[in-house]
Order: sequence, then structure tokens, then C-alpha cells
Amino acid sequence: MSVRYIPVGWNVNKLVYDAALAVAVVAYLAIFLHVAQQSPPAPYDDATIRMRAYGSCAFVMLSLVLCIGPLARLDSQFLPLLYNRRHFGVATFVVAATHASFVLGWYFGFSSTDPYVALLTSNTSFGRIAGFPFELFGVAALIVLFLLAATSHDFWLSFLTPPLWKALHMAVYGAYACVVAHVALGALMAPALQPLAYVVVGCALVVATLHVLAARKQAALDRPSPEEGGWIVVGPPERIAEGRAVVVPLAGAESVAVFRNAGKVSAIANACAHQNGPLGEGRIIDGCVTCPWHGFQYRLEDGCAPAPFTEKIATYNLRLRAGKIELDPRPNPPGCRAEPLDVKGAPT
Amino acid sequence: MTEDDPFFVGYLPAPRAVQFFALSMIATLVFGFAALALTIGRTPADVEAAHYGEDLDIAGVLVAHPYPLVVAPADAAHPQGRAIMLAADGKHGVQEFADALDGRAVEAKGVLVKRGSLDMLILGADDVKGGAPASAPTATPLGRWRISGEICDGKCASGGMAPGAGLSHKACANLCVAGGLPPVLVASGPVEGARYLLLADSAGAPTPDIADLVARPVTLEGAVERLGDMLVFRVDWPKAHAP
Repeated sequence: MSVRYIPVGWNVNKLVYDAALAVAVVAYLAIFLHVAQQSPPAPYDDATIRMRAYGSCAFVMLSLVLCIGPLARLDSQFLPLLYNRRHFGVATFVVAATHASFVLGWYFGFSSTDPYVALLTSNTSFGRIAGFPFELFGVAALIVLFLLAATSHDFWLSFLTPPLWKALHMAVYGAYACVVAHVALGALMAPALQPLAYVVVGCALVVATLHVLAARKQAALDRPSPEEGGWIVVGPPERIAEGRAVVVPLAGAESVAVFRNAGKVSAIANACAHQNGPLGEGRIIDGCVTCPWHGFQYRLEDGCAPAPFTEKIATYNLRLRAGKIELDPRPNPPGCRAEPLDVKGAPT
Repeated sequence: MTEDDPFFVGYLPAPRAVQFFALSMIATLVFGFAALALTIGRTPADVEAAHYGEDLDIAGVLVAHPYPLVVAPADAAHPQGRAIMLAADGKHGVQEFADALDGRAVEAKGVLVKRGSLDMLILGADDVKGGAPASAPTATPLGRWRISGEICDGKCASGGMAPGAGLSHKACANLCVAGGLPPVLVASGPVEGARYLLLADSAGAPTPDIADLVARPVTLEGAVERLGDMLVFRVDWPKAHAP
């Protein structure tokens, strides 16, 4: 969390994350370049080897970036991967752009036609699958990755507003589809089946499977709770462990996190104001709910981030009736105080 | 937040259990990337090996059509004579100055690129010296053929690039052909002992626009003739078939 915009708010965990990523990428490129130059009987030329190295590396990186979200949904142990995912995304764009620069310089260079013009005009076989100008899929994906990398900073999240920023960044799935098409109609059209084909199919299957599993888990959590007279039954106080929350889905996409802290129960919106992180899976640190994604904090009683931070989320009213906690599904305005429900004496 | 309930907050020191899991993820990431690089990087190019970079001086007769060639007289290594395609640097042909020297004895020097029986000489400025008019080399007719293969540009196919073929190279090959470099057919099987045929139209002139057929599996029909040690395929382009 930061009250002002700085290029990168470095800390030890981010440095470790970036160093591990850099080591993995450098190892991939160094090993690829080394073994490819020695592949008998006919190695690729050096420029093509560089294209293949950076292109395949970018594909694997993008696949991994897309796996992080569902992995973190399925198992909270993977949450540290999500914390600095934006750096992973920016690094993916840099590797993909390097691949594109090699392609432009080699396949589209050395001609009297401008390389960018040649890229768009030298193959116009749009009516065929075999021979389709697959480069255009790569161009489309690179443009999306650039937009995502360029707007990855929290300044853009605030400037564009979280809903628009989130919608923009969902375009990464379109970019991934374009990348799969780019590779399938390009490198994988070689007559002999290559290891790259297995990697591409395997990565795409893993990405799709993880998203299906995470969606199924989320769908199970989103089953509506029973309602009594307009109030939603959360359950007896002992249903909520001390310092933890239960998440109550509402009609529509919203849900509420009902926390128990020091014998009192409070309800706040489940979506973090930063990037919609699941606050109900957070913990209470220094008296504040702490988001499991990036550590943004909110007071339970009014949904306000502690000073000097200014983020606010909605609070909800609770009541205790016949030994059960009930929730009023109508949200209070963000930052509005809602009196915590005293459940001291109730079992934990 | 306790060691029994490890919870990761990015700006706080990570609990020991999180540190252990993070280390295992880092190791998986690094070794996984290394294994993938070993697997994908080892794939060889699916073409015959090429040779690039040998300087060559050659004397022969310049033939400007369908595409510029120098045809050198027969010697021990080339009993049928030696035909070498000519090109300039980059994706540029040499048709303009070849037209001026058509049918003349020339001395050409440049950088040889070679794959199998396909030779190309890359010329610099003033690398061809023209001489007296000479008798044109005789082409030997080899009959009509229907041949399957892939159309490539002569420069990348002869070793300017590796692999210099395949659909991923299609746009580059189109640019090369559009720049005046000769198109060749890489036959799927040997034709009169050769796998590479210089393409022309049925009258022996340069090919029409064949960009859509380049880099795809094609079957072509037409007359084949031998010029020096090079096969020239005069294709009936309307009958060209690409599944």
C-alpha cells in the first residue's frame, strides 16, 4: 500500500519474486540458444533461433501468468505468486516484444518495403488456414500485452477506475487466444510434429483446466444463503472462527465478508477496492482486515482504510435473532460506520 | 497471523511456511523453464543443411530469363556445366543489370550460398564484369512433368536462411519473390536427380503473381528442361493445384 504513486514500491518479497523470474527467463534463453545452435543435422540460423527462443519463452510465461489466478483461488498457498503478478506480466511483454523485433528485422527486413508495411501486406492469404497470415495474431496479442503492461501501475488503476481497469486487463484472455492461434498457424505448421506442439497444447489445456476448476469452486461458494424477511441468515456465531470470515453471496455478483474479531462480528464488502481481491479470505492484522492479494487494509466497523490511506468499501448491518446472525443485504455507503454485533460468550 | 495459520502479506516478512513453499515454487519455475528450453531448443530445422559465406569467382554466360543466372562451362565437378542464380544483397534481385548483360560472357564474384544442388551468388556493386557476346547455353528438354513440393524463394531456399522454408517463412518468401529473387520449387522427391527447380511460366518468362501458392504444398504441371546443372520448370500456372 502507498499513499503516493512511485514507479515501484520495492520490498524484499518483490525483489525475491523478480530475481527468481529473471533467473528462470535467463536460464531458459541461455539453454535454448545453446542447445539450438548445436542441433544436428541442420540447425536453424542464429536469427531464427533467437526468434524461437524469445517467442516460446513469452508463450510459456503468458501461460504461467494466466495460471496464477486460478491456482490462488484453488489453493491459498499460491497467493504469493499473485502478489507481484504485474511484474510477471510486464516481463512477458518485454520478452514478446523482443521476439517481435527479431522477426521484424529478419523476416521483414532487408527489403525495399518498410518492415511494418511488409508485416501487414506481404501475406494476404486470408482465405486459407494453411498460409493464413498468422503474424497478425501475434501483432494483436502484442498490442494487448503492451496496453496491459503500460497500464499495470496503480496510477492507471485509479485513473481508469477499477471496473474499467479490470475489464481492460481481462483482454489478456483474448491475447492468449491470439498467441495460441499465432503459434498454431505459424511455427506448428511444420510437417514434422515438434516438441513445441506438445508444449503449446499442454499449456493451453492446463490454463483451461485450472480456470474451469476455479470457476466450479467459486460457483459452489456463490450458492445463495437462506433469507428471512429480507434478511439473509448467516448462521450461528460459532460458524465464524475468531479472526476469520465467512463469505455470504448476495443476488448478483456481490458478496459480503462477515468477520469475527475480539468477540464482535462485522460485515463488509468482500471485494477489495484495489483489485477486487477476496477480503473474506484475508486475516485481521493490527485490527484491520488485510486483503490476501496485495495487503490493502480496512477497518471492520466503517470499511475505511487506516489513515493516511483513503480507500473505502461498503459496510453491512447485522442483527442477532434466535441465536443466528442475520445480514441486511442493502449496503451502507462506503466508509459508513455499522455497529459491530456483540457475540461475546458465543462459542468459537 | 501465526505459524499455524501462515498468511502472506507482501510488505511484511513472510512466515516460515510461506518461505518454504515459495522456495519450492522458485525451484520448480527455474528447473521447469530449463527443461522446456532443452526440449524445445533441441528441435532441428526440417531441411537439408546449407552452406553460406564462401567467396566465389566464376566465369560463364549470363542468362537473364526467366531469372538471372550465370552458366559456367562443364568441368570435372560439373559435367553438365554449372548454373548459379544471381541476387543482390537483402531481398533484391538483379534483373535490371542482368537484362543489359543477357547472353554475354561475364566474370562474376560474390558470396556463395548453397543447399544441395541449388547455388546462388550474392553480388555486391560492380561484382559482374561483362564481356563479348557469347552463344547462349543450350537447354535440354526433359519432357512434361507433374511435380509436388513447396514453392520457396531461391535465396532463402539455397541457404540465405535456415530453414528458409515452411509456412512460418511464407511472408519472407513472398517479400523475396516480390523483390525480384527467383522462386524455386523444392520437390517432395528427386526429379532427374535434383530436388530444386527454378520456376518460370510456360513461355520461359518470370512467374506470374504466385504469392498465394508460396510455402504451401502444391502440385505443378509443365515442361522441365535442364540448363547447365539446373532444372528449369516451365509451369502451366492455371493448372497449379494446392489442396
